[in-house]
Amino acid sequence: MDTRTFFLYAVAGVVLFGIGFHGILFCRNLVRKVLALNLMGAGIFLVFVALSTRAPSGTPDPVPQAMVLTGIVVAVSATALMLALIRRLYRETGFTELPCDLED
Amino acid sequence: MSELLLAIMLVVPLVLAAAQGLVPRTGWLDHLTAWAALPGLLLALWGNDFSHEVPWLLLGSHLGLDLTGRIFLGLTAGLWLAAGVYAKAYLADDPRGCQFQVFFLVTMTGNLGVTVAQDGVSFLTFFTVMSLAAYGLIVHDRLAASLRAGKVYIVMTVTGETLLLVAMVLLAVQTGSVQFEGLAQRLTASAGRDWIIGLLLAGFGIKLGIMPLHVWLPLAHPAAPTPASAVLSGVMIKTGLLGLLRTLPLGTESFTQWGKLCLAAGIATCFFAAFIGTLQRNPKAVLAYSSISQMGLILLILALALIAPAAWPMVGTALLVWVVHHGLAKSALFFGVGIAGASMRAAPLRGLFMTTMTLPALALTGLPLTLGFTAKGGAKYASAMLEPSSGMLAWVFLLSTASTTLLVLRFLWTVWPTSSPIHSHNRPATGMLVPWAILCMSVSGSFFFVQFRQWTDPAWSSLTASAVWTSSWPIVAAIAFAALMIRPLKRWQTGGRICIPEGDICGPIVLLANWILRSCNPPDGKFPVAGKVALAHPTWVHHFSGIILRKFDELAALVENDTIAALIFALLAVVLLLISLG
Amino acid sequence: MTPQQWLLLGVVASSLIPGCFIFLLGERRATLRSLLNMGGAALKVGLVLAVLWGVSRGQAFEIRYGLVEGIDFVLRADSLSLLFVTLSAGLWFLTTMYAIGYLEDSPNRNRFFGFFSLCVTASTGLALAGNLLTFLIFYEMLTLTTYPLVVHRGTEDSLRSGRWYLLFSLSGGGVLLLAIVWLQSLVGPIEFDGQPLAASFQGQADGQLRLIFVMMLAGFGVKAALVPLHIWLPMAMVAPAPVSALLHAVAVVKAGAFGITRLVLDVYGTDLCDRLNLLPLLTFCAAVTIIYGSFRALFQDDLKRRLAFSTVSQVSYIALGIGVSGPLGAIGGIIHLVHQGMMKITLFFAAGNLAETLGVKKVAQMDGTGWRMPGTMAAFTIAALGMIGMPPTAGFISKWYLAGGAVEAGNWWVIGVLVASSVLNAAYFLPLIYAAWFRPPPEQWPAERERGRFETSFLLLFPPLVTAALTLLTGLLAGLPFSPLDWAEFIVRQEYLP
Repeated sequence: MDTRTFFLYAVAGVVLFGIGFHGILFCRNLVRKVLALNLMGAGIFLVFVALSTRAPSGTPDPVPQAMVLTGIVVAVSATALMLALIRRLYRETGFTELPCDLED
Repeated sequence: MSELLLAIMLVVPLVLAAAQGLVPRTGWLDHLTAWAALPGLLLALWGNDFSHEVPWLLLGSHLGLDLTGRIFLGLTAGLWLAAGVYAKAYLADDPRGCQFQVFFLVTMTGNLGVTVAQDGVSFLTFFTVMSLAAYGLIVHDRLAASLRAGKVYIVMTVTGETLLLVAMVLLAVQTGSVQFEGLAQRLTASAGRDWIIGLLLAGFGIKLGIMPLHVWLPLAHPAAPTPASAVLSGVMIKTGLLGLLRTLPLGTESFTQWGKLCLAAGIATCFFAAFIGTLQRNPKAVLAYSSISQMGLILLILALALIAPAAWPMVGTALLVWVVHHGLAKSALFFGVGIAGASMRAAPLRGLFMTTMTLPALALTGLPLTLGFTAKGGAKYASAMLEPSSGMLAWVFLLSTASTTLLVLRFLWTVWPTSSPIHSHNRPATGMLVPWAILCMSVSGSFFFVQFRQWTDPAWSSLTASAVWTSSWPIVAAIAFAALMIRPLKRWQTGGRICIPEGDICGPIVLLANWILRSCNPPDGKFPVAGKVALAHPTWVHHFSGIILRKFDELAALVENDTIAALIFALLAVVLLLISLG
Repeated sequence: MTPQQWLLLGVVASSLIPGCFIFLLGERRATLRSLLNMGGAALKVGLVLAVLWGVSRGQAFEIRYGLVEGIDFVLRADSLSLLFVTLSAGLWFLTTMYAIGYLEDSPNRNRFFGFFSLCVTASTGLALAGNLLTFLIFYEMLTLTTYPLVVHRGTEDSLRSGRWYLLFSLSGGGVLLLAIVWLQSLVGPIEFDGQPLAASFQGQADGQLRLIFVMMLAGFGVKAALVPLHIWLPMAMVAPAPVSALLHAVAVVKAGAFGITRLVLDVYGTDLCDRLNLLPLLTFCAAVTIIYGSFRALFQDDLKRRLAFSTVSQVSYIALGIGVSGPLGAIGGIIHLVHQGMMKITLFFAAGNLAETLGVKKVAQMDGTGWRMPGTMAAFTIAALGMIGMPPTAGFISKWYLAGGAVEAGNWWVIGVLVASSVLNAAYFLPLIYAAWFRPPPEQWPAERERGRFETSFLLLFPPLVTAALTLLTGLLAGLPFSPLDWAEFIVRQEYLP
């Protein structure tokens, strides 16, 4: 892969990360926060995949790609847990926002 | 056998103290407490010299008995025994008697332990235990003056203990070990010896009451109950001397600088204390200043050994004799103060009392036929060995005898029992009279004993006519001077007098300290640690930390602004990129 | 799996498994919960003693489990980890007893004790960690398991303190992770096997090694409450007393201090630290913290906050001892780990007793408490005297070695710091003792509760008495073989310096 393609993937990953980070901090709805977290994850995965092509031997390094797969699995489980917690929070309080955000 | 006695001597009082604290007060427990110092006395009289290593105690301790230790132990145990018996009668109906007993026992253990400690760490431990427990004795009656005295005392004690800790650590690391045996040679050969000697002098000087570190003494000794004052003045301040005897490199090399400093401090202490003492109204305060003055003289004699190491054996003997003499005399005087507070309606009784009191009083001045004479003789003999200043020193001894006499006369004046006393203990109890009488007699009896056993060199301790004359004429002269001054003084007193409060320079120092603290403190002016901080008036500390926390919050608020956040993310992105490329 | 490996695993699991069970219990099952708690604690103590016995007979204890290529999960029992594990296990046993008594009628005890057990698991794990990554895993686990304890009460204050705690700890943890990963990418996996990075390590990486050291110091310093990373500690005082006791004496701050010890002694090694001239920085930070903590403690009216600042100050003695190069200082630092744990936990137990039985929370309310609760205040007095450094308590022994280390290394200013802090310690502890014993008690206590036959319930009284007795004994009998002092000397002389 030449440098230009590498840069495309890397920069895209970083941008996605940035959007996700912004979303986590500034979105009030919890489901949106979860989405933002997933975006961050996606961004990081892209960066990893891009990095895996920069192995000195020429062929892409499989270890970062394996880590991306692991990461996807972890992200799915974490998302499931978070959504379950949000559902429980909604059932208990009737809101999908954190108490400190509700006050402003 | 001696080891067993030593263990009993140290452990039994602590067990008794615990019992006093946990068990309701019983008669036989009080009896045991009064006689708790007996094992120590037995050990001093009949034990043999030994040195026992106790590797599991603290950092590896050595406990044992040698000549110096034996003499100190004998004096200590004897006086604590007398004080114990006296206290039992004196505090018979005191509601806080139990607390007194506990502190009494713990202080006693510390004091006894100090005399048998043969290495620096155990010495320091017992010294600290003694000093801290004595606080309880000083504040026993919970009056405002006593509490203030206790505060000054504890501040100085903690300071002293810290200085001594540093000194001992330096000793340990730079000379290899803290054992007292061979310490003098090791210390002389070590690199940081000046620092060590300085710290030791300061730390033990606080205990001895050398000016200007003496400020706690005139406050504490009057505040404590009489038996406690007796042991405070009689033996506890002597532990400072014991510490110096054990640790200073005496007899090895000439330390002219330190010697001169100690000489100057000793002379200053001797005369200033005597002067201030004559202006006091409280007999216990007069006695306290007298103790300070005598300790000044002791430091002076010690300084002789620092300057002229050849004089050390002589000086050592003279010091030991002086310690015993002062201990006996001072305790007798303090006990007498306690008795003077009791009711003695009949005039002959008062006369008998005063006559008996003059014996230890004049013994302090070095009257012939008392141990004081031997002590002063030894001191003068030692000072004669110091060639260049022997003339000046002879004058110092002369003047000190005179000033001590004036002090003693002042004391006798203040302690004169009236027919209607302030603290009436009804008739003075047997428990108070017997120890007092024994001590008064011993002041003279010990002289005869020492002469008989020839423990001291006859060159300076025999009763020759010239020796009697040299020691008596300053006394007589001072008495004559005082007699002449009575009428002018009385006129001066009624017209308005100088009044130096007990603790002399303590007052201004405390004012200064409070002023410094007030500038760091909320404006109620007191040292805040008693928890009375009024947080309604924030101090500069609160201001400062408040400012920092506010800046923190402002910074956090700044980041929440959208544009700033976007800029930061852009920066993060660039950094990530660079790392991934590198 | 050999018996030794089961033993080692058991030491960690003996609080993990009861902890998990406790979460599943019904809230009302108090007896079962107490049984699980005390049983787990007793089991842990027993297992630790078994490990000690095994090590004294020359057996080796190690578990190694490969997580990923090149990253192992290692638990190993060497002398330093055994010292810390014994301390943790013993003090956890007493704290569990205390917590059961303290939280007698409180809600949410399942939650509390569950996380309590997990917290101790994390603490034990990081004590036994055999390499830097395992240490980090348990370090982060400690943060996560102590957060629910800090916010246990659920009040506004607790939540706020918990937020600050998380902020500091997670940031610190992040910095630590970065530093560890960087270091491992430079030198490969780092084990605590007595062979730290050689002094003649790659000359050109000096700058990086220095930066990594500072980052790791910051990461550990958050938990060890080095100024200015200490801010969370006084805030965390809103937690119940057993939590404060555990956090401040055994688990969290000790983990930070232990981390610093491992960093200097096991990861970098004293030779490399000398060559890179890193120790003066550590000594300086420790000295600043000591003076600052003592100074702030003077002005606190709330008893627990005063003790919190005292902790800030005292834990840095450990860092100071490690930073002053030389065996004496290192011995001083390591024994202070043990001694300060015992003394501080006594103080917090006593403070908790006062709050629980009499409602006394402020220093100004402490008048006459000594006569109402003599056992508790006797323990408090002994521990406070130990903090000041009075012989014959344990604190004296630590101060002796710390000062000795400073003299040996020629760092004279450190002696000044020790003297100043002793005086300051006396200034803020002695008035407490004075108020307790020498002032008359008030007409009525703020919130008195009858709590049992003695001055308070047995479960609340017994632990501080035991730890106070230990403080006195470890000081008095420091010369005994197998005392903490002896152990620390063994660690320093045998393992690190030839």
